[in-house]
Amino acid sequence: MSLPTYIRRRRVADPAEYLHRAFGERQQLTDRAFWHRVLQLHKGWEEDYEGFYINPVKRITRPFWLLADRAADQALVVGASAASAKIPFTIDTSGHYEVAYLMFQATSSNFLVEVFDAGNNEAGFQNREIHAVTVAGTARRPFVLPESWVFNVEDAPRLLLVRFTDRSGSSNTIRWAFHGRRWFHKDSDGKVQEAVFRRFQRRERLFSYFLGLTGIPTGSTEDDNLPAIRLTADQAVLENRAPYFISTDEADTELVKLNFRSDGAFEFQLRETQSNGRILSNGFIRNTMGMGDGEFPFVFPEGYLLERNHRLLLELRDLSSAQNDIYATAIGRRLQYA
Amino acid sequence: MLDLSRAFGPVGGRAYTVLPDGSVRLDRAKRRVKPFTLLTEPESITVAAATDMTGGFFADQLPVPAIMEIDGKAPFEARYISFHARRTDTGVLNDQFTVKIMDPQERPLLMNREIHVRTLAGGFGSSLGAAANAGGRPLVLPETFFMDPEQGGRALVVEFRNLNTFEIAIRLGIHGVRYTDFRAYEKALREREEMFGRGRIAYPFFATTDRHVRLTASQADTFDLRLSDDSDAELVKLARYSDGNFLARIVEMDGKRYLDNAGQDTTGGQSGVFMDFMFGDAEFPFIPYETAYWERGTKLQVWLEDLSAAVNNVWVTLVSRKIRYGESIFEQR
Repeated sequence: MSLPTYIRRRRVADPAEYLHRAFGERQQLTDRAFWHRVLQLHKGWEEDYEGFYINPVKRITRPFWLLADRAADQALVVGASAASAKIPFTIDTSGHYEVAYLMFQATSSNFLVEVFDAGNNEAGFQNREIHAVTVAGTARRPFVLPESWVFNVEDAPRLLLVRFTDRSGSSNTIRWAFHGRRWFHKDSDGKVQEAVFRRFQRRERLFSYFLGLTGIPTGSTEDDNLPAIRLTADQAVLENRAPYFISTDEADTELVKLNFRSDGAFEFQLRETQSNGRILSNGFIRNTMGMGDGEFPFVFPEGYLLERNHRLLLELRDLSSAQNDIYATAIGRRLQYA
Repeated sequence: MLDLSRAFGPVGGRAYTVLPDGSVRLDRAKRRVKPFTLLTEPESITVAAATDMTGGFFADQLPVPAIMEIDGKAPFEARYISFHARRTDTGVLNDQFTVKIMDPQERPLLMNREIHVRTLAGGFGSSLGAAANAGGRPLVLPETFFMDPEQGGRALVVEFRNLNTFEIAIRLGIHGVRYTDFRAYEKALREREEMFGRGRIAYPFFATTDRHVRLTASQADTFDLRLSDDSDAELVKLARYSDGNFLARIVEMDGKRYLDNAGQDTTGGQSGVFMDFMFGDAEFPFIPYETAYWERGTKLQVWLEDLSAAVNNVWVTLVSRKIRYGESIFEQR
């Protein structure tokens, strides 16, 4: 969400001062009616303004597109079924950067992607390779991260590394772009710089994270390292044989969106491994009714908190009557310090 | 006792409020504030074929003017724009024409130059699955636009220019709100003025390059885009229509600030952002994560490079709002 362009100009900037003026000197703090009055007056303070002014921070913030450093990598040719090197995307020191959208365009949309933060021990923003279709769109419908990725460049540039793996079986030319907000904070006075710095310190603790399927039954894919489950015609994988999303030790994950890419139709249900196997539906859901893609993701009506080391099983049944490779991605926000 | 009365957020809709005792109170102003669509007169405007499409894309085509007039009964607030166009001979849908909208009142043009209809109005469907001529995806204006017949705001003048060598019939509709309740209208106006400061009025603005972009095969060129001196401008959406693929960069000439890190290619030439990462169209415009607020007098440069290896007419539109210092509407009353 864009920062507000205009801000209310309050007659009294400090709510405490506003309340003090309203009450005068002595009040009985234990009086229930008094606290009701305080709440009423606080609402009054919120509504008491004499106009708006343009947000000064808007002068130093801009939309910003982050592309691969090298022009040749901006339209990267990835060999058939091959993986690329880790492609650098550098954020220079001219201002902090928040990534909010992911976009791609490719000869074939059938490829996998991994994003790493080189400035943070190459920590990944996913637990394994993720299918690009489930986490990226285009300008018309970009994939919106549920929580922006925040990169503080106060002291040094930051580097994102992105690796692509083709799954189309043919040479694949891939364009990839991050989009977000650039804070050209060094172009502002010290007070604004300080406020921006504080905000960025806080925001780095929360970030979006992609969970691919793990626990894929051995032999269900042509290559067990790929994050897809391959169902044979009309096959079902249920309960302990089902793959799952897992939130690992270091953080809780609030799942917000659920996306897929598959060769054919299937149906699914989500089952908790804790809580005696509670199922999040009263039956199997057809894929197009409960999963989306990067452009039109399925957004849970209520975020699902997957606590650390908990598993959420994805039970599946093929409906295509043919071999069916299914990639599923749960998109959420990582709560590292909860 | 646990008080859950506010636990699930506010209750109510725009037309009614649920009171704490469970009763429903209707908003009386809703009886006099209605949706309204402003059309051209007549509803369908026939635009003759451009006979010379060589050397320039509309070399001898004069624009065809039309008027969009409201009666004197009540003010109007414009919010969406949609269009429908067909060949008059075959009835086939068409989207190849430009539009310029002018306010004959004291306010300036709503655009610095004519712009392609696919960057101005919804209604032609899209590759994302919206059906052609579905009304569900009009362009939502980044800022509404007020027309008050009592203040001389009775009409808009539009100009259509055909980009085809055959005749087409165009319908253009501006959807909005009609205020037969004057108090509701004044409240809406006053809120607008409060947002942007006394005497400042905001309205939508469509900014495009100062000259038409026609790239030859693989050509790269830079095009000025001057934001006018009368107002600040805030970029809210980006839309484009083009014959083929292209790369783009937007540069602020004041301080040479780029909005990307595209850099240079191996030959030292410039590289840019692929069009589908920067621009949508009117139905699905690209809405940047952060708007860009540019002060009056800002000059931008748009760098474009053809990727289609053929002649490429490129129409880019920065769908913006202008925030203008001016005389207060309330002071005029």
